[in-house]
Amino acid sequence: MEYILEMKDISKTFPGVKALDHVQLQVRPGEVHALMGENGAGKSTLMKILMGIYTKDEGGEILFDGKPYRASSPKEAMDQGVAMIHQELNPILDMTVFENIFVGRELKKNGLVDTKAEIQEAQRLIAECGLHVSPKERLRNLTVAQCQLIEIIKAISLNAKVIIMDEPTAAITDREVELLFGHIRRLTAQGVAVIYISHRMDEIFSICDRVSVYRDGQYIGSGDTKDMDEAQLIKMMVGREITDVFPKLEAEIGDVVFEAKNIVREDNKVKGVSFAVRKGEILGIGGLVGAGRSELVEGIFGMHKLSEGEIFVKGKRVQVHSPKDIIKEGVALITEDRKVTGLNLSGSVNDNIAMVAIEKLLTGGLYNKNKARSASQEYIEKLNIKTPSGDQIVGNLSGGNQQKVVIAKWLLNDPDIIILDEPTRGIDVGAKRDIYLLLGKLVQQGKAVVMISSEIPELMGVCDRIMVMCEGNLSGEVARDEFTQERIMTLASAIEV
Amino acid sequence: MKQKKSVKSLISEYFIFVIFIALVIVLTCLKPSFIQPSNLVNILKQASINGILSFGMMFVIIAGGFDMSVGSTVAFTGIVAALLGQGQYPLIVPLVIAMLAGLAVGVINGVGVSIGDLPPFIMTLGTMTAVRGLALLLCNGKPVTGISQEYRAVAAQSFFGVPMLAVFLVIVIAICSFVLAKTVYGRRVYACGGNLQAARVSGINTTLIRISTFSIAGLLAGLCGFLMTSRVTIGQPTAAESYEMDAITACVVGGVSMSGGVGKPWGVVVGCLLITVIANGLDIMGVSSHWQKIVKGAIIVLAVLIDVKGKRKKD
Amino acid sequence: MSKKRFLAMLMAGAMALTMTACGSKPADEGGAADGGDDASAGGAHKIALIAQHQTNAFQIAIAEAAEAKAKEMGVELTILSADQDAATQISQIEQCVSEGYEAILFEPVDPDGLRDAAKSAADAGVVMINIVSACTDWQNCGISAVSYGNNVKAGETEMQQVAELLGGKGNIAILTGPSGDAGGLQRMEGYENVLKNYPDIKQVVAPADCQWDTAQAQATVESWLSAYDLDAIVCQNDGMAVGAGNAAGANSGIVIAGVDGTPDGFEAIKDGRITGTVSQNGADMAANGIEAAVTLLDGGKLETTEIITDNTWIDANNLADYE
Repeated sequence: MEYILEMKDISKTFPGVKALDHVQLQVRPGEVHALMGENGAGKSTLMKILMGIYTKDEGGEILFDGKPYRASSPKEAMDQGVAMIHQELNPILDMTVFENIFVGRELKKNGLVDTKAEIQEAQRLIAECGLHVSPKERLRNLTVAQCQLIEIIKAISLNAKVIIMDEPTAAITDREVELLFGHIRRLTAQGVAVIYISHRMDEIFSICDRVSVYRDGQYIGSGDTKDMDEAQLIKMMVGREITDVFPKLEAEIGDVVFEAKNIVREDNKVKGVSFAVRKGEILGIGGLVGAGRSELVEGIFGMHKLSEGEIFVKGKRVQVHSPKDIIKEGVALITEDRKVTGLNLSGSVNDNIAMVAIEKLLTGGLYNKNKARSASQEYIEKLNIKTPSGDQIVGNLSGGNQQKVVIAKWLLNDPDIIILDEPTRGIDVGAKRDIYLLLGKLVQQGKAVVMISSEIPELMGVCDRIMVMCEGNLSGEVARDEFTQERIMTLASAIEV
Repeated sequence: MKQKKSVKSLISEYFIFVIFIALVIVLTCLKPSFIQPSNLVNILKQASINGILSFGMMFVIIAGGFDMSVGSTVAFTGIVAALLGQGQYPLIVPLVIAMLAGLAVGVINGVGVSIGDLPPFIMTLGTMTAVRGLALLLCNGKPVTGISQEYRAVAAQSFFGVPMLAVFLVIVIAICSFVLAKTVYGRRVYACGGNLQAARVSGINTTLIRISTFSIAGLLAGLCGFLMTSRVTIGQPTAAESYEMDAITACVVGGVSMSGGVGKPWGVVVGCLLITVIANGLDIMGVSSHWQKIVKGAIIVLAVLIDVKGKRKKD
Repeated sequence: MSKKRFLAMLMAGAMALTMTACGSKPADEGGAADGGDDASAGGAHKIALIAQHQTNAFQIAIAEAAEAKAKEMGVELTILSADQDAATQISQIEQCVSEGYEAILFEPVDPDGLRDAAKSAADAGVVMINIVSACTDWQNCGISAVSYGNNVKAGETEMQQVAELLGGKGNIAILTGPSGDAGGLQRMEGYENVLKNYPDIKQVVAPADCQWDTAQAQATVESWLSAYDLDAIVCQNDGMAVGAGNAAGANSGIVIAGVDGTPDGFEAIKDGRITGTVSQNGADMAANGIEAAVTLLDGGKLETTEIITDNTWIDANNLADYE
């Protein structure tokens, strides 16, 4: 039998949208099969059909292990040997690690939950994964990366024949990625097939054996990764050539416009970090997840109490008690998790864009809808936001476009210093490129940009200078002509301090 | 640092217990008769019906729901039990029929919420009103008198000095705690409330779990209806007005999170005792009922405040 | 029952007299029937009764008596319930006016809040009558007649009986309805009027608001009994008296009194849990109200626009007469 899973001629229509149009997928046992495509290409829909979350349209068939396959709920899918790690991570925060691992398939003894056995088994799985958490810890107390690993452990322990991983590395560090890849290789050696969805090119080429590409609900093609290169793959995904993945626009670098001195957070997650940004410069902040990068910028932005530290904007000392103190000085922070802190998902694009700079949109003290509409229209065009209109609900846009809305919202306030925390997380190649270009244009206009990213190639491609953090400290700084992946990794893992 | 954190979380976890003990001490000092055995028996009696109701409510809230209809269900099943408890049938008949009637209300709530996809608040608000109407209709608005001596004795008698009502409460506490802590079902109730989507993709039949929690609340409300009629010796269609609020209060004060997924049975026991002790203590001191309302309100807000602060993700 | 019938006949007689005065045929027995005939001659009168609510024995008795009386007199009666909500009652009055009811009987949910609605209805030519309790300054807001038992007097009767049973000396406690309820406040006024004469009767604890509810009263009295030595518990309705009686137990030696004369109260009197109750004969208030309405609609005059139904103390001795 050549394929463990075969999906043929699958279509899915949502009211008004044809999400999948006669697509196919063939997965061999023991391979890592990448699903590629921009957001909205139909990858997630296809996988949700496989998991029994969506029902496919009439026609087409699914063969699993050579036999016709049907699942009308995730439970049925799992019972047949298909498991999925979801992109929108859904851990049960108030339950413990072991409870999360065994939720829905609790270990039993005499008809009751066998807590002891669950803890032991969880302990074993955690240790195998190289994770250092207690099985009795609540997920609320873990980092996002740790939660993600728990989710992966859960899927692995299902003993499935096909495991779908939807953006499994979106929130974990490179070191953890390596651990994950180790697990994936171990699984495939046992004949398990992994369907891997990711936007990270480097991962596709390092872990995946074959790739299937989708675009706008259509199947484009498949191939072995060893026979392809990045440019080819991008062309298949976007339907045109993208010659430069990391476009870098030249800008004139001027004087220091922002300086943070000896920032120490009260909760000690940042232990005395200083840095400065110049006009026209893109400063990258690298490091592992949990190194204190987001904590640093959130501290500067007045979202958490600082026990020490001074902040200077354009040479002027600023006392920051709350975000509005620093927003007033022309600093913007575009937060990491756009859904939690960045957007009102049930509001329209116009409303969201108007949220920060609302004072500019008033007439006689009242909110002027027309002003807001024209301002928002301007940014929809400038940032190439793909939306039917400014009245569209933000929750219905793709991740990349949502991210652009968040950026537009802050740009409308005309800030001079823009801090972005993981601006390209979970968005597709085309949208990433738009954002890189936008950052380039901003510094050309004389603004200063600070960008946090966990993707080293991205930092190296876009930034003029990279500062690296490790365990709440600044572990080093690298200028553009000294950029190497190795040097940044070394600083991030604090081998030299 | 780790040590400090755990002490802090320990205090916030057991805070309500500390408040409870403090309150008992203060009341005893102010009015020594508070701690007399006869009054402790009163407290047990007074806590029992709300306690049983709170345990049903606890299941619903932990699974991420909310039930406004339990008070009306108590009145409705109380009438049912009063009509059947005139001595014409053995006592088990009114008990079982009342519980089944409560169960039926619970199932309707559950189906409306998890299959009809209605917000729990709206669905149970609807049944709250309709079931109250049903109670009034069943007895034509008049209290049902004439329940048998045997039936009256259920709530009036004691079991080695412990009022029978409290015995019922203890049995309910024991069963519910066991189910929540030890069974697969209990674990899944927490999972549903913790994150419904996650529970669903983990293969849990969330629809069934949610229906079942409303059913438990209904079933226990039916038991309360039976006991209530025995205690007040008449079936009243207007009884148990706003009891759902007391049950919710007991849960929230006892650390059950309104957003679901969190809650310990012992917390609800303390929450329920706390409410009873406030009412009893203030009654004993002759404090006006207006003040009682203020104190009760303040305690709810305080408890939820602690809940929210304690839950805030460590940053 | 017999007393009720007697009263009804008395009223009917009075009506027959007034009808004679305005040219109706005199009747030798039960003028009401004649009134009914007259009415049906010109199409039956359309009368609405808007009760405060329909959720207790007292209110149900009112509705039943009104229906019986309406049938007897041959008028068309519609009964509505305001569910304790003043706004509902106002819209119900407006609705009845626009639907062409000739007379509206209502028990105001709020004595002040219903005044304007009553006034506009009266201005529209509808005969407005208060039953059970009256609007504030009812003469000046379009109310043609009131038919009620006097709550102050009921309170006086209850407290007087309790005081006599205690021999003018002892510790008492009071259970009240929802704070601010007009009827409750009036009963309280009656209590105070009597207590002035008995300096040796002491309230040892603040009155407790038990919301007319049996279970709540029961819990409160249980708590009280473990801390206070009470000789009497005076309750503003029977439901709460039953709760107090349950807490004290049968034949406890504590005097427990209620108001209303509802079946649950009677049952408790019979088995000795409560001592007695003041009957507020709601049935008569309703019947008298209907009669007054018909009289006015037929162009007659009322002997008095304030028809007061007497209250009576009912205890184990005379219970059989009322059950």
